[in-house]
Amino acid sequence: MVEKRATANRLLVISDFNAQNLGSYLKNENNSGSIEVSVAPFGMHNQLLLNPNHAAWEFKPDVALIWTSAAANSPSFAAAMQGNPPSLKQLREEVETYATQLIQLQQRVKTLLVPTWVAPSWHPSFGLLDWKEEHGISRRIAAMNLWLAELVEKNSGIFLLDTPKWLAQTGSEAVDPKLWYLAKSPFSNQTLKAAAQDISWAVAGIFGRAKKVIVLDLDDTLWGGIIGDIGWEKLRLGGHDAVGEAFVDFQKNLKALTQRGIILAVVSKNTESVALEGIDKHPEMILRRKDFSGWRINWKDKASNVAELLQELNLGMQSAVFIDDNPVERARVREAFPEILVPEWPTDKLRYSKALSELCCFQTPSISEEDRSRTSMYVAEQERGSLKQAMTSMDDWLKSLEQRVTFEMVSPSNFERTLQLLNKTNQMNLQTRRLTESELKSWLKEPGHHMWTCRVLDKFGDSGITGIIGLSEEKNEAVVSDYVLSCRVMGRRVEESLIYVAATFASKQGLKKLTAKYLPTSKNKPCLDFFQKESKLEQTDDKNSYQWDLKTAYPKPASISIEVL
Amino acid sequence: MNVISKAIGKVNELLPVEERLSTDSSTLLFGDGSALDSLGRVNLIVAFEEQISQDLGFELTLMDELANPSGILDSVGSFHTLLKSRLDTHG
Repeated sequence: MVEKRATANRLLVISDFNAQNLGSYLKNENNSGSIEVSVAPFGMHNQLLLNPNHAAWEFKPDVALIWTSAAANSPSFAAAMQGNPPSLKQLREEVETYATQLIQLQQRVKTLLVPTWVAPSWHPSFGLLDWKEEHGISRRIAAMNLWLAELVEKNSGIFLLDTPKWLAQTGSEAVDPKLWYLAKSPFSNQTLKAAAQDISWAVAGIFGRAKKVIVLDLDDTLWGGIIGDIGWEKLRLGGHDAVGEAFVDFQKNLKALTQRGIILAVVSKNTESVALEGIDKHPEMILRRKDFSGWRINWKDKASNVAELLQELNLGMQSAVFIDDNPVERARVREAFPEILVPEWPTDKLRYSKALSELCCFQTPSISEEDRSRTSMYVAEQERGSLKQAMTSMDDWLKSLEQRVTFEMVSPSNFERTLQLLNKTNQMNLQTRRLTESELKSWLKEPGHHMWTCRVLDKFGDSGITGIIGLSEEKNEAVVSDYVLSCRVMGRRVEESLIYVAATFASKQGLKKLTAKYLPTSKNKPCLDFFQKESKLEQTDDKNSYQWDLKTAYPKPASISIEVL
Repeated sequence: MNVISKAIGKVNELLPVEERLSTDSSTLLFGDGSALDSLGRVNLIVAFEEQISQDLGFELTLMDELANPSGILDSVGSFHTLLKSRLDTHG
């Protein structure tokens, strides 16, 4: 089995049109981390889909982008374009054939991105008849896309991408007949650029590099006006005012993102009490204090505040987007932390929501319960932090939290979350082993392979499934294949609990040693720190391996209740 | 001229860093020795035509100009001269 570590992801572009320009944009798109791109010769899509020995597959892609026209996959649709409309049944059969080809292709490439079909721009519209069964091209395209989506729905590695969104972004310049006739590209370069940006973030999301937090300014970003000058009562927010309405919509759209697991934070140059009064008291505020996982509201340098805040949230710079109406502040943060995405922001407040909708950096392959409740988990974490400050010792604090850690074998009920944790967690991750759904399923089926999830609860709430421990039995040894813990629960002895459960299980199996091998990445130093300083495991001659002799029981972490279901 | 810089900027978004075009007047565009391949030349034609239409408000069909053997589009400098003459014509 091919296991993908945290390296560049390989993307193969397969198309029925000249996609060299798309490939160039993808290569130059540097927002989302590294992607290696190869563009297969165009018009060879059928051969590539059906022939596993085609030279293009030597690239060994992690992801294939298959972008074809409807006519390329459906002779009946091509006939319809010539005025000979086939029955919808015929079309359906051709879409089924294509879906089967895609599903079979997943044996070679686990992740497929398939832009949806659109009506060719050069096709003369039927106008009134476009949505009628007999002639309608638009109706056929919509039906074909919907059928395809339904047919591949259960294949978690196949994602349809929204081509009309890219066309809408570029408006009247979405297509360029000149590029078609001179270069066989049916889309303008602006459209391909929009597509490249979306695709590169889709790949980033699939491999755990989606953005996780939006750090927001307040004055003229979340509301209109300077609160310190005019007071919260006179802010432009809601009411019968176009700008006020635009700010409310912007806040609503930000709030909707929190339902997908994106957290919000504030960094603002203001007097904290004055700014918080606006958040708490303005009747038209959509975002309230509970919607923010943290804030730094003071008069210090914004870049330093952003860094401090991200550290408090246990998130890396690469996880953050910074939104500020002030170009000077944007430039400051961009210069200080190039890993942070700092989008150019419109001066026109009415365009804020549109600018937000065009950020495609929040894409993830799934959304779990944990994602939906992430903001409330961070708010609970703030309360834990306040309690910690009031306690004199770590033990006292952990006791007061009344923590319960529940371990459960990986099963269909927690599989999706397990996969998400494996592919998204960067910092406390021993080996950063990235697996697709089918790779994880086949790994679990192997004899001697075991994997548990852990759920952490305390008196402030349920942090959800936040950790994974995986073991493989190798001769007399239990080798840790996966040691993964969400940053949300780091530093609360859950780290030791994972080892305790693994060591206890391995000991019962009659194994002699528990071995954990650390594979360094640019982001998992916290994991190394834990194994070096706190795990109680001994470093072996191989400097990156840590071991526990199972003759001795691994000590149960104090002040935590552990349950293995 | 700004319109030329903008169009070259668009084409540069498609090129590897080491192959990007300079806006110096001596930079070869369509003439012999140009660093652009055939797709690069098409991209440059499209970018120039778009930019001229957007910024200067008239249409220029470069395919017609390229058919002219005078080498008027060989370099940034000669293209600049062509544009100036067209601007004068369009007032």
